[in-house]
Amino acid sequence: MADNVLDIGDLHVSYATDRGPLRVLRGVGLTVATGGITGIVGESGCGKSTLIAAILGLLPGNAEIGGGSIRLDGQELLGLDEAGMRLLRGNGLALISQNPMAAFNPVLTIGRQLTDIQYRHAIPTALKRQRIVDMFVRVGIVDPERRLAAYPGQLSGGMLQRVAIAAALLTRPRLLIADEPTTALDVTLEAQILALLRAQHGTTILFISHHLGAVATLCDQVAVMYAGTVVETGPVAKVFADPRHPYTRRLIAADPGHLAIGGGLLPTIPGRVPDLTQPPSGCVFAPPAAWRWRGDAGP
Amino acid sequence: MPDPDAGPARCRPWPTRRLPPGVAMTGLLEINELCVRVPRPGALWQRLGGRNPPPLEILCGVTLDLAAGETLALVGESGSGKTTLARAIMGLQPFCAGSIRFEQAVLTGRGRRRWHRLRRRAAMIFQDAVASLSPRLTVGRLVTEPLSIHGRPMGDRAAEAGRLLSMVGLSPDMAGRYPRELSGGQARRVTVARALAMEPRLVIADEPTAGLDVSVQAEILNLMTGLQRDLGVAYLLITHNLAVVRHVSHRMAVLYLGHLVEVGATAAVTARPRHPYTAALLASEPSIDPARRPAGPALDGEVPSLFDRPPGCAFHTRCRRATDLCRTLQPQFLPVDTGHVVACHHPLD
Repeated sequence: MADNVLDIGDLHVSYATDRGPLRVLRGVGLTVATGGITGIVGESGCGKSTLIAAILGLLPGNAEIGGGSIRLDGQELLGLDEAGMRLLRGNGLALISQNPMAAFNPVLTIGRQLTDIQYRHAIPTALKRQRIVDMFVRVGIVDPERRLAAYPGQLSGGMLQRVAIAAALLTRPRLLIADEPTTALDVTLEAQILALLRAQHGTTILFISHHLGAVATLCDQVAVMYAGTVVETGPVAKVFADPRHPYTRRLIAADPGHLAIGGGLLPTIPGRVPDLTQPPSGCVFAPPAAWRWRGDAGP
Repeated sequence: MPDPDAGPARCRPWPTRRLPPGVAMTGLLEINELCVRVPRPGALWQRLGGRNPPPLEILCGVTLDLAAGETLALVGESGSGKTTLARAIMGLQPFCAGSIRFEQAVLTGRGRRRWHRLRRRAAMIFQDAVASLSPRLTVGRLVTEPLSIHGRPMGDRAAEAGRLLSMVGLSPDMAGRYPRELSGGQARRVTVARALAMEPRLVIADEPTAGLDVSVQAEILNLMTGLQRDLGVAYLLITHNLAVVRHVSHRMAVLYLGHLVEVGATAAVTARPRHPYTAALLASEPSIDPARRPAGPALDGEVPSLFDRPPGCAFHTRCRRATDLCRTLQPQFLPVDTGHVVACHHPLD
């Protein structure tokens, strides 16, 4: 088995727009180690969602891959035909989405939907249901047998996110992609879901969030994205304790969770993300470099 | 004749009361023993069948006050009644018992004109900024609409719109845009400008930074604290982001399943929470420091259903300190320190 489950190298993706190609990903490189949890942080529009869509082969029609590679256990995913991709989705790759309500069919019971996703396993239905019950116990769903007969609308958001995690783990994925799985949840439920994900020893997870606290709690490695590039990557403890890129520093400083005492003004990130139809040459974060902090070496 | 207590439309209005002349008002807003009940879904069929199910209690006996120029944060999980309380204060949610006093006036469920007067002095920022802006009006029209509704002369409408937009850090050129042409942060700024158009004494902000990036969140919070300093406006801030609470609020109130469990100065409550629920909420907040990873979640389970409210203390089903007393008797508010009250039989030290 390769050291890295996921190996993305120099990935370029652009969208065709009226104003010319929008270069959303520009040379993204990222690895996820086997059994590790890697977090991606970044603000809206930095390309997090495009990156996930590229891994899953679900880019919209106006997207164009300009180069690079995405390897899952050494297998190149770019250029794989639809049939090959279908074999991977829900088998090699699983996704937990931000909104668990949208992830399930509202008119089918939970039990029916979780049985259906095991269609690749040639085992009797009773056994499939037993696997679901076992998985429900593992993800902390109380009263699992009764939940099988429930419809998605009858469960709370936190409970449904547990069901979504159970569904993802049932397929024994090589890579579990969690796209903002706790954003819609209360803080107590967020803590429970993070603890649950952390307890899945051996499952390789790519965790996307804009919540720095959640990434610090869960992940081993972190990649900070800005305007379609990874600007800083490394072990979470190191990046958050000693950020080297000025953008990472600004991002951490702007998070109120970072400040022990209240009052006063929060630091912000002045300027705006550059227009990616005409990305600047050189460092994409360079235009607001006038406010670079003293002592920053610059990228 | 159906039961008069069953529905909000038949809520008995609290008798209108005025303060005796000469009595000094301390707070800007005083909420006293407020209760909100709604009929159970499907209750009509049960009533037709001769049964009479009790209504759902959304808020029970909420007592709070807010001083001028102060920020009070209201925290709690989904379904704790935060938004219902905000809506009751603005007259958008009828209440069954208790009273709301804003400035000198006692507000009741009755009388449109009284609420109309209140909304001149109090404004609300709704949770979903984009949904709260009419897609058919321009930004300039949206921010000046409160002025025309309340019949306030504004001279040149475009100039007034420009003034309000620059107050929240938007270019006056934005006045001609429609809400769909705004980013999330810009839409939020427009709702702040609209709320401040009438120069209110109180602004109720329901999750003003939910769904925003941290840098945009910081900009909105800085804007709100700056305007408070300049205009002396009081905020009732509804949020479940404890980092925001700690940063911008003076006092905080914790709601659990429609009951207040702890009220006190933010610094005191966050440094030394006395209610087990407050302590669990604070401990659940993910820290940005990986060295401070919690061993496990501070709180198991979920908020119980309103359909099946636990007897006694509503929190006893998840509380690690619960005793038989908690399962039977609802705790009363007790002061533990100056301005710090807690409703718990076994408060933390």
